[in-house]
Amino acid sequence: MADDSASPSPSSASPLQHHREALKSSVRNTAASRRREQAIAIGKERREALIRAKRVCRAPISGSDEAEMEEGDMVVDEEKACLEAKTAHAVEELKSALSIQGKGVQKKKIEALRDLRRLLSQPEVPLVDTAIKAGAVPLLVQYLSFGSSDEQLLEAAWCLTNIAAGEPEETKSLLPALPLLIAHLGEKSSTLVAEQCAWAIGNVAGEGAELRSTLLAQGALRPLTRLMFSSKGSTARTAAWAMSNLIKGPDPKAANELITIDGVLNAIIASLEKEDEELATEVAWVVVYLSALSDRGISLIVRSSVPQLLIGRLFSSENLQLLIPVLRGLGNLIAADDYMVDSVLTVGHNIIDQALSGLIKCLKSDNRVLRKESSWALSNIAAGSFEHKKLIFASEATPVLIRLVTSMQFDIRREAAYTLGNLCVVPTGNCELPKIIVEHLVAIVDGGALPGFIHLVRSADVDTAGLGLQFLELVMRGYPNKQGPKLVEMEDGIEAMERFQFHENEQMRNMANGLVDEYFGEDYGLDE
Amino acid sequence: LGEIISALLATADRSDSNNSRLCASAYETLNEIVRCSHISENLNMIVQLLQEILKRLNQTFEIQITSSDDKEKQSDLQALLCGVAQVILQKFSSCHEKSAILHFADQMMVLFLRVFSCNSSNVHEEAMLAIGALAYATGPEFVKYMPEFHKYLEMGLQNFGAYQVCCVSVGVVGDICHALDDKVLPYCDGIMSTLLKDLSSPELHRSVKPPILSCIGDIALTMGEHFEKYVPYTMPMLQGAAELCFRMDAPDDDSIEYQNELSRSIFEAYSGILQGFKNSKSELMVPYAGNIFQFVELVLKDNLLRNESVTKAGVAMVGDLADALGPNIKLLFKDSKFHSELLGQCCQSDDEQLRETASWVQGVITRVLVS
Repeated sequence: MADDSASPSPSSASPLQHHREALKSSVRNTAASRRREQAIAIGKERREALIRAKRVCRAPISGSDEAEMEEGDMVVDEEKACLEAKTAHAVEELKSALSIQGKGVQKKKIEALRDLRRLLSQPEVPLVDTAIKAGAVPLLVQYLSFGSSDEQLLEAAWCLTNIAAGEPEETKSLLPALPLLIAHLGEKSSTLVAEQCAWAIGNVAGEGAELRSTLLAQGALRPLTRLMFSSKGSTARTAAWAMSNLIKGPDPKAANELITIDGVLNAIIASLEKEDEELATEVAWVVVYLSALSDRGISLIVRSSVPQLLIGRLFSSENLQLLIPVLRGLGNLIAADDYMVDSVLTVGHNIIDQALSGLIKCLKSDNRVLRKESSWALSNIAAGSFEHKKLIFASEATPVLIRLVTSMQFDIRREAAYTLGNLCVVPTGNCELPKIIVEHLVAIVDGGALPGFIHLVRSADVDTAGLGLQFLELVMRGYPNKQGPKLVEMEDGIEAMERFQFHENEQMRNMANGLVDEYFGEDYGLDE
Repeated sequence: LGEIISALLATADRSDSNNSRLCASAYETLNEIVRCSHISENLNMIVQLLQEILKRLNQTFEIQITSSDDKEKQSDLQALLCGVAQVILQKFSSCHEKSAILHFADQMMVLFLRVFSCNSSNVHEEAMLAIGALAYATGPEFVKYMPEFHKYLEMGLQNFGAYQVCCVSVGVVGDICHALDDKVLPYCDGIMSTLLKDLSSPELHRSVKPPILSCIGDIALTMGEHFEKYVPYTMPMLQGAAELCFRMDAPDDDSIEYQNELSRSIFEAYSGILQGFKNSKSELMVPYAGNIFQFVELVLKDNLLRNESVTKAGVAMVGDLADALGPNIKLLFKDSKFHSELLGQCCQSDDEQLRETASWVQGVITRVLVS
């Protein structure tokens, strides 16, 4: 019990002096801090520039230090200049091949295209800018004309693909080529050509929302969808990848339009049913964006066989590249539509067991994305019926979640905490405090989760701290034999809650102070 | 503009302002004016400003100290004046007209070193920042000040109590390495032994330790093959720090940020050491290559594209590993799929520098694998 002595009354000069001191300190500290930060930022910049400069220097095998330096620099500069000259020359060859007629012209065209494509494909010196400045794009557009041979179309599209893989400004330079690239996605062109054009379009779409809008306006969506139906695996993969780039938003219009195209859901299902994991990966990304952006897409997908197929992949695959979009797509569906938990993941069916096994596998993974997103998906399932809570609680997930909430990174810890919290309560319809599932609460607390939640209470993030406080409330109210407050005290919970005594957020302040008053007020300890 | 500067100097100097807030604000405003000005148009004015600042700094040593208030006033004023000098030096350090400022280098160093005779750690910090800016602007010629200055530098590095001064001193070591290049060699033993003691000291605030690791990378890069004698002491420190990255709890955003800072500084240290040895004694690092590779793999697997500065430093370090050690560690890259997945994703990043670095790394690794 604290002493209740009054503090001495302050002298009249004291407040003014304190105020002035604070102001002086504030000005000085702020200014010094700014200069320090600037010095640090400048230092980092210099370090990076120095490291980068050293990295491109290639020392010859022998020679004096001075000659070595000179020769190294010359080799690098010479090599780059040489490649740039070759690139400009290749573009000139493209140009001249267009202006001649007669025998051998086709061969000349192919050779010119191939030379340029090889230059644009080498990784060490970027040559895209050189090619663009030499006028490559308008020429390549001409090489894409309908009626040209497949080989020519393929090579031209390949060059455009690598140009689109360059810097943002370089990607934008493809604007004149987009109509023909889109046109070749259609049935008039061979599958090989269409696939290469899809690749170029995928690179363009990957650049940004503005280019995505342009592609959509020029009609890329429907022919790309048709290409996703292709029976050739690599074509379907490339088309699905390009599609995922095209619909990734943030504008939901493309995703909403895609889901209305006749047969698209069947194409997705057919792809997910195939053995090809790379294809499934790209299609899963399409599902991710549909489920993130299109309400109608969500509604259709959850009532199709897509969830079962995704869960099957989650359950059986060990391929990280596939698991990430599969998990995220499922997480989106579970979060967005109650139908998933109520009607698809019904307790007693095999599908919920497979889903749970898959999610637990991800929880145990050493990949952070899998851990976080499986926690998130589980927290939404755990928000479902009492049967769902019992099922999760009885599974391997609970001890894993307890480990996550006490030892992992902040954002993963928070998702695990939401799941564990949901396992302990059955929400009531009104504003009353939720009903506690005592068996779950006791096991989770005895399993060692309490310190993790107290850490959350100390978080600077208000929502996270609130989550921690809610759990402490459950423990203090619901742990049997009124042992809850003592357990919280033993883990320094009182100190954590008292931090909110003067918190700026009124709701948090009231919640924390209310808990301290109720469970650690004047009656605390009298039971013993 | 000249009139504004004159007015600000007069404001700072007003005798009726016992209100030191006014004085501080006036000098800070001067700093912003310097930062925003175009040197080519205002060269004369800034040179005159610097002369005035140095004159005032000199005058502070003649203030009669009769009370702790006087002492505090002197220190505050010296700190503010060093701050203005630092900003001017930073402004000039990368332009052609810097000879106009460096004309005053001797005078500045004398004044800055005298500031260190004051007790207040606040002013030491400001003087240290100013000297770092001067070192960088001066370049190799800064070496003539080193016999006197390195004593204060090592004092700063040992100042555990005022850890901000220690941190700034570490930054200045980096500035000096960049400025002096191989001329810094005679002072490295003293600096390195102090830094290594700092790293193992539990008294030193943890926020200073990542900058120390990065600084060791700067020293290694500058010393080149001469860094060999420090390898047996440095590598256990780096490996210990790497273990700490995974062992430490991360209950809140501050801890996560510290963990990221620590990872990034470890990468920078390894990068500096690898690049320093690249053309001379890279074989020294072969025994550590497996551990380094495992560390970067674990960190980036957990951080992939989520923290850009950590990813960037890690990717660069993978490239430095391949670049420096080459065929000696071909097996590491053959046995691991991780780096190709990592680089593939980094090459698609929105960050131009990360894409550039990742492309370079891909090229280096390709050469290693075919060698």
